[in-house]
Amino acid sequence: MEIKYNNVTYVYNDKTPLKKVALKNINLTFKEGKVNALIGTSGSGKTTLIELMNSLLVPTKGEVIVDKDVISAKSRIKNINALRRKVGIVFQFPEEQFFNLTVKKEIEFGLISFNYRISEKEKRISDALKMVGLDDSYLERDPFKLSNGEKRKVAIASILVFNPKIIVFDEPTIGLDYDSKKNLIKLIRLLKNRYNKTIIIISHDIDFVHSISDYVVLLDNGQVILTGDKYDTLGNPDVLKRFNLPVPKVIEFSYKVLKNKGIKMGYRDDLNDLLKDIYRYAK
Amino acid sequence: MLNNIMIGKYYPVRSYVHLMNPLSKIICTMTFVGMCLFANSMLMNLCLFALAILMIMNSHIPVKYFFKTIKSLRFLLLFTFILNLILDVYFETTLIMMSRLILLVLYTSILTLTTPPSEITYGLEKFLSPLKVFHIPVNRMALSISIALRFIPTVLDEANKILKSQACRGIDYNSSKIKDKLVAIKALIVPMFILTIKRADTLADAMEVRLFSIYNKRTNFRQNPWGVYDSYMVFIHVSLLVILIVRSVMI
Repeated sequence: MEIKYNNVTYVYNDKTPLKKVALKNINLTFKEGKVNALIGTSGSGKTTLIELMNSLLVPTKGEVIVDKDVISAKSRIKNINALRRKVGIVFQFPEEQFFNLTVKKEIEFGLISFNYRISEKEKRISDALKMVGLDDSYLERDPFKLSNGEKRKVAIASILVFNPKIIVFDEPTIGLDYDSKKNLIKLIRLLKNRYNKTIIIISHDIDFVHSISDYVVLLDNGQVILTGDKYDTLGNPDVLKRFNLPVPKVIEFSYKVLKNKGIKMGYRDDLNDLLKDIYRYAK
Repeated sequence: MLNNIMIGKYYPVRSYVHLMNPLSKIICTMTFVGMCLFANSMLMNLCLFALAILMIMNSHIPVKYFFKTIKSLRFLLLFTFILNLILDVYFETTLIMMSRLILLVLYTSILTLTTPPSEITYGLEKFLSPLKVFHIPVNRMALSISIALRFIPTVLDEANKILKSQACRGIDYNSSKIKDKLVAIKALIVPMFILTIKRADTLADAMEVRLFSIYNKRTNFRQNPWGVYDSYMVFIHVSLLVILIVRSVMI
């Protein structure tokens, strides 16, 4: 399923003194069936970019193409729900966006509004909960009284339940402990490899992005600065530093070893793999 | 999604009305409210519309913002109209009632669009300061009002987030049917209460750890000088109110 931005500009409060250009002439295509990461400093336009994807915002200029739907100021989408069923967005701090009094109601909200068949409902809810690592005992619990990690999982389940083809995670790791983060990485890999979903992640957690992404888009001040696979983008510390972004620890380590000792290490996604290499080298 | 709601929004441009002292703007608004109460003919109401339009023109704020405010009143106006129709009230009285509603909202939106919330609080504190003589806690009242005003954009922002979350899951407030809109609004009530109480709790803690006390003497960040234009506007408003009161007493 194609996600393409053609000359997209978005201006908040256009034609007022509070006017703010959030995106300028964006031309971008996300990779299908891959984990795409959007990185950039705060206020660079990342969230605006994804909100254009399922017509929560409409571009001021240009068009966004999702599958066969064209989102632009000129044409109105006929079936907006069909588009939103394709693109599920897990917002930043999704736990602040609960509006139902039980976990079950929270998760089934999407199913009901998208008119899914009732016979499928119970199983779908149960499966969605299982995917995020929760069981049916949570169904009747109050979502507002869960721990932060559990809340995040329920929020993700409420999107997974209607099986969108594209899943967007906006800052999914904020407030998550080490184990929850590891589980999230597992879940994203599962969604990509087994269910062939297109994943888009917005994150400031560069190590998380490095460990999970295939394709990286760097945004700065509303413009796309760099796109490419993660080896070309995150593997280049000079570019990241130029845009005030942190360098993944694994890359930084390899970079320092190369710079100080002249030893060129192989590219490693994971710190543990890198450590194994070092032990092998030391032996 | 809730961009059409203009309550508590400030529109920053340079105009005579923006430069007015918040106290004089509050006095003008209060006298205008008084004028609306005493204007009991359609002609008087038209004069008040003229005054409001004059203020709007002087504020350099695009008229569409005021139309948005009036648009948000449409259901209340319709309700008033139907109720008056059922109660068999004179048509002119119905019109006066409706125009009073529009005038009140229009004029108070001039105040909020041209004055930042912090300055409205300053103005209110000054406006209510004579009540200190009667041991009425004016500081406390002003603080409550300032927090309430400061929370309007925050609450709208939170509501917006929830509406977006609902939209992503199939209920779009903007494009759905009336039934779906009602579902969306109903679903907003519980989380809004919970989030607002949480925010208020955090704010109270943050104020307490910074040793906030209502009894401490405070100075204002802005100078807010009283200018000739302030005296001029207050004079016009108070004179008009006096004329209206005298006229209604005479009749």
